Amino acid sequence: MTDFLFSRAWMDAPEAWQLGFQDAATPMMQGIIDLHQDIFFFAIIILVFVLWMLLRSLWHFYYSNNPIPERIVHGTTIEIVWTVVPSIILMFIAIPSFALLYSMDEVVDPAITIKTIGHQWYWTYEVALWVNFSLYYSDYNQSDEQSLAFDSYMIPEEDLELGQLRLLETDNRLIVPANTHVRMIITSADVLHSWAVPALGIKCDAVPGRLNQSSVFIKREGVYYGQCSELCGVNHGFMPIVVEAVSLDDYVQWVSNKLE
Amino acid sequence: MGNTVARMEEAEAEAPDVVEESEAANAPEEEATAEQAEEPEEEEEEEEKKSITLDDIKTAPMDYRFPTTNQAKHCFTRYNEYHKCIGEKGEGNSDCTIYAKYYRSLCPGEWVEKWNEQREEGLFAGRY
Repeated sequence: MTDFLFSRAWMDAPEAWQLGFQDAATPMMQGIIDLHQDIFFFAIIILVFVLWMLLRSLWHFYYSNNPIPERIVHGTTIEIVWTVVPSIILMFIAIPSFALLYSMDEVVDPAITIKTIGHQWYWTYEVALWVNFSLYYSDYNQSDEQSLAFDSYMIPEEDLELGQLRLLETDNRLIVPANTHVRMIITSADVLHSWAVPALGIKCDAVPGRLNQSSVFIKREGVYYGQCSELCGVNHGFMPIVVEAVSLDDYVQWVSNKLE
Repeated sequence: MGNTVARMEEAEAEAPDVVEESEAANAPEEEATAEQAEEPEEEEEEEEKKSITLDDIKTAPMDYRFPTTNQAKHCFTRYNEYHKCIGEKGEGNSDCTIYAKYYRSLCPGEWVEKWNEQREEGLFAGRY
């Protein structure tokens, strides 16, 4: 009972009139949000200062108050100050920024690889999962012809059920195990697309002929929504992405159900 | 803790957005029995499944020959390594299955099918 009183409702899909980010579900997205807050702090300081200077100038030195403007050309001290202080501010911004950037390059061997192929105008997901299936499902067929692959089309507005999100729901969701290092391989079969899920902090172009690699580690179970982020034709706005993170046992069960 | 986990799993199973319709029916029963199987140390004879841990799941590892974002060369190299292994050791050799796993993990099905067709026609551009 108390679970409901103190549980949180995560925002993993866009909201009307939303101002901030969606709630982070990966360390990457949390890093992006933290960096944004760091930079925003300095941005506010600079904004207030510049506005103050501007308003002061307008108030004290407008034409009827001050018809003859000053002709100051030099001021060594102030010029040094207004060069050094911004450099220091930039340093404070750069440090967390580079920390996040280099943390992206850290390499962890993934547990599963999921291939995402963009088409006009839907996504195909392929999963190659190598589990000791003799524990679980003894007839796992390892030939070329049988891989776990499925298409994911948007559910059109007329087919939506109550409570579903318009332009965001798909018929088949990409099911992913939570708390697992997942390697996403993103490519396209025709034109440029982009696989983006804001709550996971991932946006990666789907380029024909390239296999773009991106790494995801989803920290909590849930359903995460995203949309195609590279103009790809008439229905570019109508090929969304839904990722559902589940526990490892649920995931293995889903895979074995799909393979049957 | 156990009660909370069971309730969360039931809520997931009852969610209307499952991929397979059958999963919703199967999941509550199988999860309940899986939990019961885990708590006592002995295995129940009717329940053949053990729980899968993260160590059981493998895929193509990070390869330092291909540190870049574009893994197309990685996929192509693994595909060629598999066929090189097959060429050297013969079809169906168990040493080659690891390469098969790697290229199947990385390469989209369409690419593999296209290369297999090219291979049959003698038009494949790779070395093996």
